[in-house]
This record gives sequence, structure tokens and C-alpha cells, in this order.
Amino acid sequence: MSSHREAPSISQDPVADNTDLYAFVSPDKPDTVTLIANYIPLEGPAGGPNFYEFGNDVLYQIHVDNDGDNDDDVTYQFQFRTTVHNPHTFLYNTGPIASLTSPNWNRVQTFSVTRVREGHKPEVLGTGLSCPPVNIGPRSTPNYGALAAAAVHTLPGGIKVFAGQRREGFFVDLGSIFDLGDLRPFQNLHLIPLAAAPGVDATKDLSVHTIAIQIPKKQLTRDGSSPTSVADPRSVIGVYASASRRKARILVGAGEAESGPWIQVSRLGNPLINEVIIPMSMKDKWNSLPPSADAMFLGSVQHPELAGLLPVLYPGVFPHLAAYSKPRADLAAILMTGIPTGVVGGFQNLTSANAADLLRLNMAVPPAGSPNPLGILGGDLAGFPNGRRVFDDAVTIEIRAIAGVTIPLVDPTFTPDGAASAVRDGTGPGSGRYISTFPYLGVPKSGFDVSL
Amino acid sequence: MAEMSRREILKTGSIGIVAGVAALSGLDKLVSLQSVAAAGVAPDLAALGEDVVVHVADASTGDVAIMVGTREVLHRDPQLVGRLLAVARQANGEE
Repeated sequence: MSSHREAPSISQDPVADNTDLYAFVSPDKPDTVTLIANYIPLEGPAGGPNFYEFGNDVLYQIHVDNDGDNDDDVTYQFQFRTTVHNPHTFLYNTGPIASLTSPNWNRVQTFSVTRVREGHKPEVLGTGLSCPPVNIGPRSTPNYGALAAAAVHTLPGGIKVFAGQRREGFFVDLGSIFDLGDLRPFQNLHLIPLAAAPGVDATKDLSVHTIAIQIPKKQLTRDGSSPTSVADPRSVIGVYASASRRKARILVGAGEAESGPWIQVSRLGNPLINEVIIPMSMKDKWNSLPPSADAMFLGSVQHPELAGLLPVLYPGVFPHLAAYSKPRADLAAILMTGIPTGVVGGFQNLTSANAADLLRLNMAVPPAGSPNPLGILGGDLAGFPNGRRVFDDAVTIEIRAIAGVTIPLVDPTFTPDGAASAVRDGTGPGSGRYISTFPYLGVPKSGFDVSL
Repeated sequence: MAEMSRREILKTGSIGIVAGVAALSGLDKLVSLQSVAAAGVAPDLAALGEDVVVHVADASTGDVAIMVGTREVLHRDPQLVGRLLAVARQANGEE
């Protein structure tokens, strides 16, 4: 999946596991950018009695590079605290939760937001901010949409923030993709064929824990300017999200003690990098490093294993891809440096010639009137890989890119195979997954309504 | 730095000792605590307000990493490391 359970160590630490990262110009407030970092993969809505929540012992961060050096210039830190009002019951709630201050809500989580700007002291933007409860069912959370909306907070400087459970926005046919790279609509062409079939969306009923922050663009540019020119390097930011734990943890009876500096255990820039590009033996290391160290992984991007597997798994379907042996400069640009001027007409999001997995957003590109989930591949410059919107079809875009459809951008001598622009896993956004306003990810399904 | 498992942690009194040899990274600075020790400062963990974890980072050089709060400092003290390892060997049933 995008980055769900993508590495051996973090797969055993769900609350610290980055699952998806989004960065886009807010469609309903285009002078701002919305950054969304999701955590806790494959979250079943009916996960009581101890429902999912953020880790109180995890430092969640969203990092922004705005000067092209691949290092943090503005970082937003989020830390959580859980309060149990009645320790004598096993219940999450003892009656309907009608508001964020309901006495019936027994296990309440709040959070703080701190901004760290390079060269400045950390600034606490908010403390004691309420998360919403999880969506339990019609008796416990009868008006969940309004309840969660009340947990959108306004911070100084015109910033909005939300942290809590939302509907999983990432759609994918997990069951087929991890069955030897099967794409159900094309599985009649697979090495081990079955009759072609529609895709099965494995995440459509699942939830995720979302940290969403909406920030005026001027607070993200290197010089406080308002990005208006697509060609201007100041219009481009590079974003990644991370989770860190304290270096030492000691279990003492029922409690624990922690000490030492924060150590990064998970990170995420572009979707699917650590998932399908980085080899198994390097995945945990990749999670521990900052993007500025990514030069060591450039070879895996330039020669992706999946590009070699596609012609094997789909015999005769990708002959041109099979014959292509040059380093994949197209993928290196899309994923590791940004797309330079002159590759895609009227567009660039280059941040640096040095490799770093950052989700790069040119903030001068306005939101699309009629967005195309295929993003730039679909002619929509406001979508992935210019940042990433919640509904962008990251799986199809990346499979097609790896299959060779983007090679001609940098190597006009290459003609993609016909299948390269047709492959897909057969899933789509579906209904109810998104909303048109902050935090854009839809209301999570309740445990009562979902059978998993 | 090598990954620590919970099981590798020995708790001795109020000081956690993590035994092992690992490459050092991300340490705030190399400090000498000789003057503190020589001054005979009375142990008072409560006054510190934080748990303290000591990691024998490199026994061959006598380097210990001392973690308190979100800080980590490297302290070189072969004699201290020798005493800690003696206790560790004892705990491990070797002596």
C-alpha cells in the first residue's frame, strides 16, 4: 500500500506507522496549503473496547523544505495526551457522546502543535486541542459528522488543524497486488492467468488516524512571499512526514519510562517508495534516515525491481519496457528531485539536483476546476506528482510510470508499450470517501456499520 | 545505533543499563563528568525529574551514552564501564 506496513520493523508499531501523506493547494481556500499525514494502517472501525488512538509516546511531525537543500525549514510537531475520566470502568464511553466535552466520553485524547522554524525558537501554536472520539455507532456517536467537525481548531496566524479518525482515502486492490503483482482487470494476461475481473477495493470501509493542517502559503515560502509564478523556485516546497520514538524505553511493572532523544522510526514523502522501490533489507534503515540521505537509494529508483518484474509477470505485454536498460531518469525526477522546467509544459517542481524523497508541491499551480485523479498523467497539473490530493490515484499513476509511460518525458527515443497507459488495479475513489472542506478526508464509517 | 529490545534492558536500582556495543550517532556532545563525581554530589534522581538511562556504547573505549530527558551525552569513563560490566557479568551468572 502507499506506506501501510511497508517495512518489517514499523509493521509491528502501527501507531507510529506513516500510511499516507498529502500536500495540495486547498481547493476552497487557495491562499493556503493543506498538509495531511495519516497514521495507523488498516484500522478496523469496530476496534473496541480500546479503540485506535494516536501514540502518546510518539512525536509526529510534518517537515517542509522551502529552499531546496532537502533539510527542514519549517516543521510542525504534534504530541498527544490521553485522559481517562473514570478509571473504574472498562468502557470507552458510558453513554452517547454528544459533544467533545461530554462526560460520557471516558477516554479523551488532546494534542499540542509546535512549529519549529530554522533559526528560531520552537513556537507552541496550540495546546489541549481536542481530538474527536472514534466513530463507534448510532448509540455512542449519533451525530458523528458534527462531532468531528467541532474538532477542527483555528490556531494563530490563520492556521487550521485537525487530528483524529477519518475515512481511509487511499484506494487499492491489496488482495490482488500482493498476489504476485496481479491486476485483476488484466489477470487474463498474468503468468498465472485467471479470467479478468473488476478490482476489489480493500480499504473502502477502513479508517485511519489523520493529522491535517492548513497553512497560509506565505508561511511556507522561504521569504514569506506569495507564490504566483509556476517558474519561480520559491513557489516549490518539499514535504515529508515522520514519526519518532524516544531512544530508550524501560518497562517497569504496568508502567514504562522513556528517555533520550527522539529517534525517527517512520517517514513518508511520495507514496509507495519504501513499499515497492526500497529492497527489504534496507526498508528499516530508510525509515530511520532523513530524505537528505537518500542518495544511497537512488539506484533502486533508477532501476526499480518492479519494472523488471512486469515483463515477467505479464509475458509479451511489456516488450519495450523489458528492453529498456537505461537508468530511469523519469522516476528519479518525479520521486527524488522534482520535475525540472522543460519536461512538462508550463510546469516544474524541482527542489534540488540532490536526491531526496520529498512530496513536492508547486504552490503557484491553482486548484483544478475539474480535477483528474490521474494528476499530471491526466493533464491536471494540480495533482500528483505535484503534491498529492486525497483522491489522486497514486497506484495507477505509479504503476503506469514504472511501466514506462513517463520515460519519453526524458528519453524521446523510447516508445512505451501499449499496456503502459492502460494498466490499473481497477479501484477508484468511490463515494463518501472525501469531503469538499478541511480536513477533506471523509467521515469514518462507524464500527456498528462495518463488518470486517 | 543497534536496535534495543526490551529484553536486553537490565534495570539496576534507578539506573537502567543497556549493555552492548554500537556505533554512536546523534549524540549531543562529549562531556566529562569527572568533576561532578569528584565533588561528591549526592545521588538524587527525584530532583532530576527525569529517568536516567546509561548505555555502554563502546566498552573498549569506556564510552557510555547517558540519556536524560530528550538529551543524550557521551561520557568516557573506562573505570565506570569496568564496574558496570562487572555487575553485568554477575547478573549474567558469569561470576
